[in-house]
Amino acid sequence: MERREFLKIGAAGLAVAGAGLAASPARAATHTLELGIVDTQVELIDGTLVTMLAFTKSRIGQPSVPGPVFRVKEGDAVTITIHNTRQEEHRFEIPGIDGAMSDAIPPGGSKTVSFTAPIAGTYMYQDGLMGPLYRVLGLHGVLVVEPLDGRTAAGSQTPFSLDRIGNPQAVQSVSAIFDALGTTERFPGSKWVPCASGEPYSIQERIWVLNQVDPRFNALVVPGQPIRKDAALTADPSETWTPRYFTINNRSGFDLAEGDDVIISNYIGEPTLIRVVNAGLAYHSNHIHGNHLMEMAETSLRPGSGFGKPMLRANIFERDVWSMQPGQRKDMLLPVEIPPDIPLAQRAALLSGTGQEKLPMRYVMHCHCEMSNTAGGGNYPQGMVTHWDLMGGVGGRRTASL
Amino acid sequence: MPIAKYISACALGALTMLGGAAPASSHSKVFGAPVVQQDALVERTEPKGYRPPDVTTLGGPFALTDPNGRTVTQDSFPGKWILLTFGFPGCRESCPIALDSLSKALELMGPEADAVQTLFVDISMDRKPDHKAMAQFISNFHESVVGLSGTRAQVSAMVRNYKIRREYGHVMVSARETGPRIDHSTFIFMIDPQRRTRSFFYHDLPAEKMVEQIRKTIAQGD
Repeated sequence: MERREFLKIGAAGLAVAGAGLAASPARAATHTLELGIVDTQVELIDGTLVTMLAFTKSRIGQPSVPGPVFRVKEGDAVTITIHNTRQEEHRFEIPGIDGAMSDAIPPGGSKTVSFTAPIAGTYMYQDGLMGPLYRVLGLHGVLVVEPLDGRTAAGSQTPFSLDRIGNPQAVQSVSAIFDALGTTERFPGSKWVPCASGEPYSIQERIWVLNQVDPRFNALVVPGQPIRKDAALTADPSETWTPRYFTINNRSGFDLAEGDDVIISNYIGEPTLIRVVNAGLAYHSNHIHGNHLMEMAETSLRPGSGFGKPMLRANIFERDVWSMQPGQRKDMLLPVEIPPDIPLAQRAALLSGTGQEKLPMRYVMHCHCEMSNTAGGGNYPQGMVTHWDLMGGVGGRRTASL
Repeated sequence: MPIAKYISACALGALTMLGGAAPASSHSKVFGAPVVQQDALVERTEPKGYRPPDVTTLGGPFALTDPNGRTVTQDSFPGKWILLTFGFPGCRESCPIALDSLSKALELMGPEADAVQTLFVDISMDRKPDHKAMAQFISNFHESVVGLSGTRAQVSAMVRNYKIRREYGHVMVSARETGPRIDHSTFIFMIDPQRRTRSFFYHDLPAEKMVEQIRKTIAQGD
C-alpha cells in the first residue's frame, strides 16, 4: 500500500470514528507548482535601495520577498519546478521534508522536486547554497502543510496532524487548548478556523517571516550577473553579518504599522494562529503586549534525521516573549482574550464601553533584541515593531465571516 | 559570631582568595562582591549622562520639495539664516506650538526677520509626500514659513544629519491628530548663511525668548 493510500484510509477511518463527525473520505491531491529565481530591487524604510534575490510564483511572475505562500494537505503529492533566471547556480530545499531538495540549478536552467507532504506544520522553502547567504538575501518562503483532519477528539479544529503525533501528552495539551477556545469563561467566542486553501493568510491565521538586511551583502548582488565575490565578507556570513534592517515579511519600522498580512485586528474570542519563521541570521526575541501566546509547535534544529521537522509541545507555555533562532519556525496561538491586565472588576465595563479603558485597544509587538531596537537611531526606525488591534467584544464580527 | 561580622569575614576571606585584592573597609557589610574603597576610585574625566550633540556636527546639504513642487536646497536662500524644524502636518501638539511661537517671534522681530528663513520639514514616513496637507497646515502660520517634504531617502538623510529621533506611535490615533502619531525631536536649529549649524533651542520657548535666542546667535556672526 502506498503511503498516500494509507493516509487516505487512515483519515477516513478517523473521520468515521470521530463521534458522528462528517465523514468525507479525504483524497490526496496533486499540486504542480512553479517558482522562478530572480533578482529584484527593494526600497527599504529609509529610502535605501537594495538588490535582493527573490522567488516568483511562476517562471516570469512578480517577485516577492518572502516568496509566495503555498498550502497543501498532508499526504498530497507536490511537484515544484524551479526556474533559475540568474547567471549562477541556485538550489532549492525544504528542511524537514524528505526528498524536497533539488540538485544545483544551473544558470537559465530548471529543476523539479517531488515529495509527499508530511505531517502538518509550517515549513520554510529556501535556497540552501552559500550557507544561509542566498536565503537571507531573499530566497525563502513558507509552505504550510495542513492536516487531513486535525480535529481533536471533541471535534475542535487544530492545525496539526494529531493522529500522527507519537506523543500522547502533546496531543492532550494541544487538544485541551483548542477545545477550550469558545467553550470556557476564559476563552469565550469562536473556535479557531483554519485559513482557506490557497490563501496566504486569514482573519485567524497569519504568517510572519522574520529576516534582516545587511546592505553590504546586498551590494554584492549585481542585477543580471553572478554575485560579486568578497571573501572577507562571504567566507562566513554568520561572523560578518551586521544587519541594519530587521523585517517581518520584508518590512520594518513604520512600514510594519500597516498591512493585513502582519497586523491582526480581531474581536475578543477570535483566536489567531501566527506562524513565525526566522529566515534570517540573527536571533529574534519577539515580545507581544496585551495577550500571552501559546507556543504550540517549534522546529527541531538538532542536526540529524529530525532536523527541520515540526514538533508539538507537550507542555504548552504561555509566552509574552518568544525566541526565534535562525531557521526556527514556531506556531504561536494568540487567544485574543480579554487582556489579563484589565482587572476582573473592570472587564464588564470594558465590554460595555463604560470603563476607563476603551475598545478598540492597540498593543505593540516588538523584538527585544537591542540591535533591532536601535538600528538607525531612536526606537525601531529600521526595526521589528508592529501591533495588533483588539477591536471589540465577543461577537463583534459575524462568525460566518471567519 | 554576629551575622554582620560573619559576612565581613567572608568578604575579607573571599578577597584574600582573589589574590590579595584590597581588603573590605572595616565598616562595610559585604555579600557577594568585593568593595572598592572610595580613595581607590579613579577620577572620572568623561562627563556622565546625556549630552546634546556637538552642534557643529549637525546638518549638511539637503534637497527637498515645497508644496508647489519646487526643489529647495540649502542654497535656495542665499545670505539668510535658516530656522529649521521638523514635524508632520497631522501633528496637533508640538508642531503647531513650535510654528505658532516662531510666527510670533518673526512678528516681534519686524524687519530683522528678513534675515531669516523658517523651514518646516515633514518627517512623515509615508511613501508619497502629502503636499496638499503640508500647504494647508503651513497656511496657519507666518506667511514666510516654507513647508518641505521629500522622498524617503531625502528625508531620511536629513533626519540622520540632524540626529532627529522619530518613531511611529503604535497607539490608536488620537482624536486631536489627523493620521498616524509620530513622536519626534522638536528642536529648532539655526543655520548660518555659510550653512553651518550654529545653535538649537526648544520648540516651546515663549516667542520673546526665541527672539532673544535668534538675535544672540546672529550677533555671534556668520
